[in-house]
Amino acid sequence: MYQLALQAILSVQERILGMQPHTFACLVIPVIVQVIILLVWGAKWRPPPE
Amino acid sequence: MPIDMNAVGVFIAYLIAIAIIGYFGAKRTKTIADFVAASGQLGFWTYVLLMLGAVMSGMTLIGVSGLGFTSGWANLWERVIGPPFAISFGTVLIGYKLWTLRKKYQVWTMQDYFAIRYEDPKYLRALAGIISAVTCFVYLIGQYTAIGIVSEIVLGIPYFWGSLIALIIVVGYVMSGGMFSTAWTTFLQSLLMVLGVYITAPIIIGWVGGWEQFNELVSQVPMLQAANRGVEPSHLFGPFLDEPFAPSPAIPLVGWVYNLTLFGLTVPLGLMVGPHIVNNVLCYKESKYTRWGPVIMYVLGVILMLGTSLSGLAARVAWAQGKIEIASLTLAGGVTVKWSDMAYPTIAKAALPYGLFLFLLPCILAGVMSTTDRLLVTAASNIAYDVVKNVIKPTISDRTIMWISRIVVLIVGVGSWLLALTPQPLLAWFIWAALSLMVNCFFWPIIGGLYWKRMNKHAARWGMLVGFIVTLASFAIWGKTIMIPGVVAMYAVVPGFIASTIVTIILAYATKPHPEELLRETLTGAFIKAK
Repeated sequence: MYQLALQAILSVQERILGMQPHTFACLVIPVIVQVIILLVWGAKWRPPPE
Repeated sequence: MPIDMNAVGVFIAYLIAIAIIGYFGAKRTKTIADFVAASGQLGFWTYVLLMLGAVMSGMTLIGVSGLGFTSGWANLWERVIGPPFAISFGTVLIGYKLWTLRKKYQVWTMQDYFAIRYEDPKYLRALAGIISAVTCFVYLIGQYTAIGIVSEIVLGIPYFWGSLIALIIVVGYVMSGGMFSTAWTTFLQSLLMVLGVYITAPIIIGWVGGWEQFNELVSQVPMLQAANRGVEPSHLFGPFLDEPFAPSPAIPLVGWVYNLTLFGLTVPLGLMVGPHIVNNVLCYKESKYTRWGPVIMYVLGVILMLGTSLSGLAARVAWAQGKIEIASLTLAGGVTVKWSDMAYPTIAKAALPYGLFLFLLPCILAGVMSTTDRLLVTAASNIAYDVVKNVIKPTISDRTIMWISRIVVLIVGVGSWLLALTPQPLLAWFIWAALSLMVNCFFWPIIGGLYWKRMNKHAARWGMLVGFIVTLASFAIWGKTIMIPGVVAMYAVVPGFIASTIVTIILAYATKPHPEELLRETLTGAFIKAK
């Protein structure tokens, strides 16, 4: 999925919000991936053993 | 530059507010556990903002924007991600397990954990304490540099006097209130910082034309700076400002190898295992804070870092257009360079309405002070609590230890301030040097200690010592950058990391692991949640 998203963004020739497409991809993809990991952590969280 | 009396008024009001909060912190501080770790009593938002304040420092508001000015998007994306990654994933990977151990063994500092996990209450504790104090000292130099810059550019108070006033205030409240004062003042400071950047960064970007036009102008900086400033289009990484990194691995600072070694390794991992960050995860009250705290820290942090970085990059665009002037700095040897760390305060002064600019002032000071106080508490804990109380004289009273802590705060504060009186053109280099020491000394003892059963005291001791020595030697031999001309340029953290990794792995396999029962009791193993 990560590869597909990256390829989809890199195939865009025009600027995204004024940015180079690959610069935009390098900023947005890691942030989204890390937020998803942290949300999954929160959803699956349980108290540590006392 | 004339002194701005309104700005000085805001500065004084801010300092009074901080001093009052510090006073209440001091009243709350009764024992050494209060001084070192607020006795693990911090609430959710105090903890979240403490973590944010500890990494979003003078480095963020001054250094990161200075770097945004210098190198633009070329490595900006990694700077944006590194510190939020460190505090949020640090809470998950380190905080979750250490919280349980804190409850069980009264673990108040990283060195307490080492003493229990590695059955080494003396040597490893003393070694880690001393190394930690040294890294905090280096880190502090950068913070006073930032304070001096802010006071000179924003207030018109000379660098020397601005940094001296801040030194007196911060040292004063840390000496009296330790961790409680630090956490409570950081609550206000982080809040101010978040508000300040969230409000001002969009206005600054709007001032250079709004998001889309701003990014298109970034691509035109090589041409703009040649036309308006008479410098080469390639001046100060011009061609790479709109790229995520320079394609050649041989270019320092913006090349992909340099990016990887500095922003992929040093910043996120160095911060994650930095003693002032690890000790923070021992201060919160309830384990449930580790549930949604990380994602909140991450989102707040990314927006904050992005806003600051882009403000620095906006200053580069405005400078290339001829709209603002960036102050110069004369280095030893008489070389004069653009003082890129002036980027944020300079463009803020030009782009913001006067009232808002005055509001930004305490926000920037807040950013600087929130890290300074945490580093002072950490250095004091390392020497007084870890070395004096737990290694040299365990029978010493809490009262005496707290006085020793206060004296250490004074010595470390004044010493680092004296070294900050000769500033670097890019503040970030000080911070990165300290982070290099942190990652090369503490990454394996902490992460290996929590997740790898073979990790033992010999591996931890020697890995730490070798990492420390090789890192210092690398900086002495190569300076910041190791270069093979035309082939590769990398940050000087690499030899120390390789050396500490090799020594750790060899010794971990060559010597016996600790007993299985101890490993079970200290939650050691390749899991986060114990079954």
